[in-house]
Amino acid sequence: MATTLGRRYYPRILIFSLIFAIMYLAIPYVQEINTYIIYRIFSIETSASTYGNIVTIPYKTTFISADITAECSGILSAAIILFMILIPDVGLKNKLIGICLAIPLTLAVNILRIFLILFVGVTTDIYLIPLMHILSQALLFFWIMLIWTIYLFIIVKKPKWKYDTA
Amino acid sequence: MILLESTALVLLIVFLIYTIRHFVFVFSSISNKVEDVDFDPNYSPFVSILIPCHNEEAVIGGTLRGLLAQDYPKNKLEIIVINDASIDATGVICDEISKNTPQVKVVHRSKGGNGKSAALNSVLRSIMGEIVLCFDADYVPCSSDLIRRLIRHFKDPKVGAVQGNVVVFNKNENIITRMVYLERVGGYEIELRARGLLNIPAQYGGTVGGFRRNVLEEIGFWSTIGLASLTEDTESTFKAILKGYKIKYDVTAECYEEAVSSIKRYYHQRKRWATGHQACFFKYWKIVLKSKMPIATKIDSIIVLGFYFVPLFSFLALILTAVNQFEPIRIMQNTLVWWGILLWMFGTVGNLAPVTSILTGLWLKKDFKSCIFVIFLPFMYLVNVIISINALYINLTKKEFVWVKTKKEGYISTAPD
Repeated sequence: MATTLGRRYYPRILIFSLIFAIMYLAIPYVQEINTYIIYRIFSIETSASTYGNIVTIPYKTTFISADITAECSGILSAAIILFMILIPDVGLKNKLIGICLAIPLTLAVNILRIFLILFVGVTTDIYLIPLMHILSQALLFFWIMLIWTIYLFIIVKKPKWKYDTA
Repeated sequence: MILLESTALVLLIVFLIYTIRHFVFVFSSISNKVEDVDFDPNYSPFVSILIPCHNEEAVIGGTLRGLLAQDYPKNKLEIIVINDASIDATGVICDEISKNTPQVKVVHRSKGGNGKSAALNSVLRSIMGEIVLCFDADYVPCSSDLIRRLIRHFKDPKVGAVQGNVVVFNKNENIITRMVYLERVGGYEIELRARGLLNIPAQYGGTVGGFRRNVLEEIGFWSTIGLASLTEDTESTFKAILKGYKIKYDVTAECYEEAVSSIKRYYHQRKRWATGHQACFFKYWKIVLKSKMPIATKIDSIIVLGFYFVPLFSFLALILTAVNQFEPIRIMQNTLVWWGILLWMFGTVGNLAPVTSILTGLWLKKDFKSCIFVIFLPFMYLVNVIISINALYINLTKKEFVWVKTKKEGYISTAPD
């Protein structure tokens, strides 16, 4: 009987771990890019925004502050998608197409997510920010699922082995 | 505050274990085909098929017709219908069919209501089969070689039980049947298949499967005592695993089932499963941990036994997540930020991993259209939260469980033989 958790998985897991570590180190830079894009596109001004800092956002006649966490960079979601694309035993071409499409789009969706949190808070009521935070996590969840569905059904199409049913 | 943080930490560990297990299963299923077991024409032991039924007039005819169309040698097959005090036409239909087919025997029990286990045990001493297969009254084989596909695994003397694949026949009926279909796809196409690939025993599901008769005798037949007997399949599975027997799953042995079609029926059916499953957890977790089974099997067994606690934990995580959003009572400080992120992800919309399993299962079945219905799963997750809480209440208070019969519409009778 075949056992999949064999040695042939070790290099893949090692490569993934290295990529994940590099991505983790990139979090502050990605957050800077996110902040810049949000400022340029949506004209919402935020100050220094690396992981662990607090940003100030104009709200009515005053300012509100927001904690910056590592997930603001979208790296965790991108890492989950990367993990899901890299680990299965499918062709290299499929993996490359999957990565090239999924990672930039995920980072873009994350920017949209952060914008939604801030936009709703600034334009409606500050107390809606926590709610939007939860809902935006759900948005990322569905995005990951959408990417996975597209990856399997449209890019990979069928498994390497034949599936014989009764 | 320490209590809240500790709770959050425990929840995260539980979720991470379940998540890692799901992803391992998903990636194993994508990457490998289950090794096919050869058919041996010389191996055809006597098989007894047991069909316990209580008021199943809408479906029993179709099930019997499907089983009689099997290509297994007729002289080595008996079908025993256990009519458990039905008050509808079930007995009449079965008697009518048995008149013309000597393989079908009908046992009428005048006093029923003691559950499926009691009905099954009542005939075990009189059956002739070396292998005992069980079918619920609303299961119709997808092909004529279903029995042969199931039986071939018993050639290995270490195999104590086998389980076939369940295919929801009425998935297009309404949103509830579609949700049941998605759950079945995740469970049967991914989880059970991956267990085979990873050499972890599968789980006997109470229907479309069965045991070697001597294994049943060794484990003391189906349990009729306590709440654990509500899920006699789970209990007998663990008894067999603890005795060192293998339990095989055959993805190619497909059988149609009629899924519950209303939320009320879904609730009552799952409440029974959850109550029995949780009772099995309380009964067996220590025994499993102390046993000498392989470590992977041990871990998986505990996870399987605890399955019906997950919605409850998930709900607790949702509450903690909500609490964590507000600064004055925030429990996740910067040092725990990564845990907090994971808690958000799992607490807000259930668990990421089971949905991945379902989508992957749909891909293996080439069923793209059903993917869209995944968005309704959070609703079912909330229903399962209520079910889990109710089941835990019954288990903790030792309240008497009232068995509510799962009514079937009879769509399965139109399934092709």
